[in-house]
Amino acid sequence: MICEEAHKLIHPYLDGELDLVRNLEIEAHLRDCQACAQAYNELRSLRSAVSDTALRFEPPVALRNRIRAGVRDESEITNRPWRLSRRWVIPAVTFASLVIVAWVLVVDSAL
Amino acid sequence: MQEESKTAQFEAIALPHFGAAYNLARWLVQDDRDAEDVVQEAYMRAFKFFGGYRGGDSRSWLLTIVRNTCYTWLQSNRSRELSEPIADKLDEVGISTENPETILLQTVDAKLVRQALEERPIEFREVLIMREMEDLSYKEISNIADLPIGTVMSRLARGRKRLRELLVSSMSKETLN
Repeated sequence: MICEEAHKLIHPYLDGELDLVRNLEIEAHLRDCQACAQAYNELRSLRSAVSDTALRFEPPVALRNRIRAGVRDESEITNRPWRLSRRWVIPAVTFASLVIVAWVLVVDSAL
Repeated sequence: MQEESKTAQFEAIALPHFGAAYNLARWLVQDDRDAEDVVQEAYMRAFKFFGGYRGGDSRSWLLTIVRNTCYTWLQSNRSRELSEPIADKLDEVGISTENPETILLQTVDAKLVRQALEERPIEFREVLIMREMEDLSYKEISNIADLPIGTVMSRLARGRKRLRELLVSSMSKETLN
């Protein structure tokens, strides 16, 4: 293998994306060619720098809970359209009582 | 009963990828609160589309939705960041051979790496995050980002090359100071 070819394959080699034959070829080249071997080592150290867990962003726990609550709400709303969602029960009952009271008052005063 | 089990099934499939989803979104939109909003919206969308999920790689399925939600969000909130598409040169899959001294990138401060990654255009940043942090294969990245595998490969190579240059220059600046 010539260096130019190795340069093209070194990333997929690092990423474990090469087939067995190509793997063996590039490994042989890296044993023989110091410049390519060094370039490969630098790529490996770059990888370990980027994959450092300190660079990961950890999600807030509250977000997970919000997502679960959101999914449960959504599932209630979309899957039981004939039933009132729990959060509307109190306003609905209140509104219905007011209508009845108002109606009774109107009928009473009309008589 | 049935809805109950659909919700439970969704949670069992989508919640294990919560960490990966947030990490990707946070690296793409680059803000804590915005990332939270985007991830929550992505999960709601995923739940809506859950009927169409036919098994298989659940992480790729969820991350595709997360990435799409990020791009939709960026388009309406920070369209400038997306306005200059990069030119993909497929033959530019090389390595840096300049600078022959060994650079000890293992010792590089995580803060410098974070800064260098943040400065990379989103097209390179996303493939680097998916490959190096989430350990996704070229095939998986190609599916999630809807890119040909050759483009994934060349963006990774260019992304690494530029990242290395940035780190080397910021490290030598630090040594000088």
